[in-house]
Amino acid sequence: MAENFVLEVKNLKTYFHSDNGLLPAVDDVSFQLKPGETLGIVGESGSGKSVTSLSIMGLIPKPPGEVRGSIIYKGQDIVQASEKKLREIRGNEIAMIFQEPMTSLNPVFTIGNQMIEAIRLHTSLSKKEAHHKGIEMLKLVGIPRAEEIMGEYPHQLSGGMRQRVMIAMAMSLNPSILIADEPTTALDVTIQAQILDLMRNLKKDYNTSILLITHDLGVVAEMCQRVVVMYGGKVVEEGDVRTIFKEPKHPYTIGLIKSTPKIKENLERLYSIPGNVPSLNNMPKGCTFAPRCEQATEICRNQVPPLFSITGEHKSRCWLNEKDALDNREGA
Amino acid sequence: MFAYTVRRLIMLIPVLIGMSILVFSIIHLIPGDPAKTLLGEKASPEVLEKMREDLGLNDPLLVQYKNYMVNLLQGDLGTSIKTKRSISEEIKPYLAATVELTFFAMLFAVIVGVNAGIIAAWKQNSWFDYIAMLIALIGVSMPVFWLGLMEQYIFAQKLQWLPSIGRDSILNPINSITNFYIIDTVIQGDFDGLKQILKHLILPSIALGTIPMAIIARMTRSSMLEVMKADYIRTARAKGVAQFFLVYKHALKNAFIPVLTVVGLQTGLLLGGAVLTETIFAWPGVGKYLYDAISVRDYPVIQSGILMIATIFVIINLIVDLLYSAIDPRIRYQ
Ligand SMILES: Nc1ncnc2c1ncn2[C@@H]1O[C@H](COP(=O)(O)OP(=O)(O)O)[C@@H](O)[C@H]1O
Ligand SMILES: [Mg+2]
Repeated sequence: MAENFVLEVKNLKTYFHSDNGLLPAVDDVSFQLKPGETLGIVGESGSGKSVTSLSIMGLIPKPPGEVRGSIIYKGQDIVQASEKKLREIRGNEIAMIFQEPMTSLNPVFTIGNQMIEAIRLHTSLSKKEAHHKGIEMLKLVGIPRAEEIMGEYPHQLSGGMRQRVMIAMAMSLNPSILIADEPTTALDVTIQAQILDLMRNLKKDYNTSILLITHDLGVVAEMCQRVVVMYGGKVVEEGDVRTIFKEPKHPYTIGLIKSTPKIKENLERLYSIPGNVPSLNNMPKGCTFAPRCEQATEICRNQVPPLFSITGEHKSRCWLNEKDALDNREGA
Repeated sequence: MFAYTVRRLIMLIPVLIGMSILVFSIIHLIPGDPAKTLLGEKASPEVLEKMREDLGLNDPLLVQYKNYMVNLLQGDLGTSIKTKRSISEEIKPYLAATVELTFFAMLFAVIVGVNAGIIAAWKQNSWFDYIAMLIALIGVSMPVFWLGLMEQYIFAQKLQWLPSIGRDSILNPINSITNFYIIDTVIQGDFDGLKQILKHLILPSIALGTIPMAIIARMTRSSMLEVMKADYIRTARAKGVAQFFLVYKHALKNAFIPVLTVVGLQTGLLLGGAVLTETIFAWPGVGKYLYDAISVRDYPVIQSGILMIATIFVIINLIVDLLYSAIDPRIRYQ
């Protein structure tokens, strides 16, 4: 274990107490984020991606939420950290941007007020210095008329501009990790490409590690080095992006790839995985994907598969891969 | 903001004209001969004719309205039939008494109500939340006269901490200049007087402010709970904003917008004259003034009173709208 990680999520379990008992929104999830990498977390809506990211930020409301396992940041388990300690980390060391740029900024405060607040929370800059820093950040994310925008309100900006403001705010303290939860889902395609470009450039300049959450494998292909595929609150496949696209092992991942539009094939009817993500209070007994899987067998319906190691970092949670994993082990 | 204010002021003109027409018509809506209604069936024809002449009822309607408006615009509300005095002069101390009482009642209602609502929402489902909302529930359904009488019984009669009736002490009356006793005592440096005035204000303010306080507390709580779920609150949390500022800065300014409506409405209601409270506390306010006028059918006074109350409502509405736009930029820029 010589490798060092900026963030290590170990056996994360996030439950919600409800009238139907404990609902496991995130069920034993582990992954690592390396310095300077962009790690994608991909999966259909409802697979537990947002809950995972909010657990890292310590933003799961308790009650009804309950977070177990550990999240190691800088050698410290932040699941156990005090609220005060978490406040020092939030925004400053781990920053986050969200899916809904239209509602993510406070409508009754100016852009400047919200930027300056973020900067001054974690530095000893004066209001004036923070103001200049704010303008500098707005310029950096490509916002024209940055000085004027500081005095304007969120509703005066378009969705794309607001997301740029969110990114400027998140990056203003030079965090070591940026969590982006579907940052482009609510934006139209051209704006989406611009925002992704911006994030790529910022990452290069700042060497920030990015945890990019998306349901779009196209975004993963464009942005990430490694990817974690989530389904029903569990990691079902994990590996570097090239391997996952070339040799996907889990039927769910294969389905996701088949249902992602590619430019050359845009005339063909797109494949879609039959069925829906199971609801939390109605989780299948065995593999959570079994009810939708064309290759499911008896064991799939009865026993939860472990995460099998295929090669190197490539892992898959499917009984079909049991043999691959064993072969590798024997060969090694 | 300036342009918005001007626009709102211009929009007031048709409202005020409509109001004046309505109030003007009141005397013409009295069934039969207004003069006869005022003087009674037994009045002699000469007296009746003189009354008609005095009231201007013999002129064409349009001329009557013109005269009425000209007088109104000069601040002349006409003459009281009962006291034969100028209503504009007569009403001033009553109005001042009501404004002073309303101000303190609403001050109590807003400070206690808003903070109770905030804390109840912040500590949702805590014992504070339950107790505060129980009190608020009792508060909205509390009969004001009963609360007033209980206050008098406990704090005036039993404990003898506070005076139970009136605006000032009979033995030591205020030397009034503006009719607003607080201002009067302050500008004259009469701090003993000021203390007396404040003591007289406490019980009726609480009696009058309890219902608005309860309504405001409930409104603030539900509005805060709604706002705390908003995406921008999550953003602020993710920036590392502490809970206190999350509540009092980020959430409150948004949550206050619907509360403001309630505050405006309740202020208007109180300013309209709270007859019951004013009677119990022998408070010489507009409610009492109007009540007396109605019982002797002093129509010019009733007319003026209604006009006054309607105007107060319009002004409060304007203030509320301006405050909205001060809080919420989306209204300002429409
Ligand atoms: N506060 C909550 N209370 C109860 N259930 C929740 C809560 N937040 C999320 N969930 C449930 O957790 C599951 C995962 O949600 P989420 O992480 O938002 O999915 P996504 O992958 O689309 O981001 C969903 O079934 C959702 O209903
Ligand atoms: Mg999500």
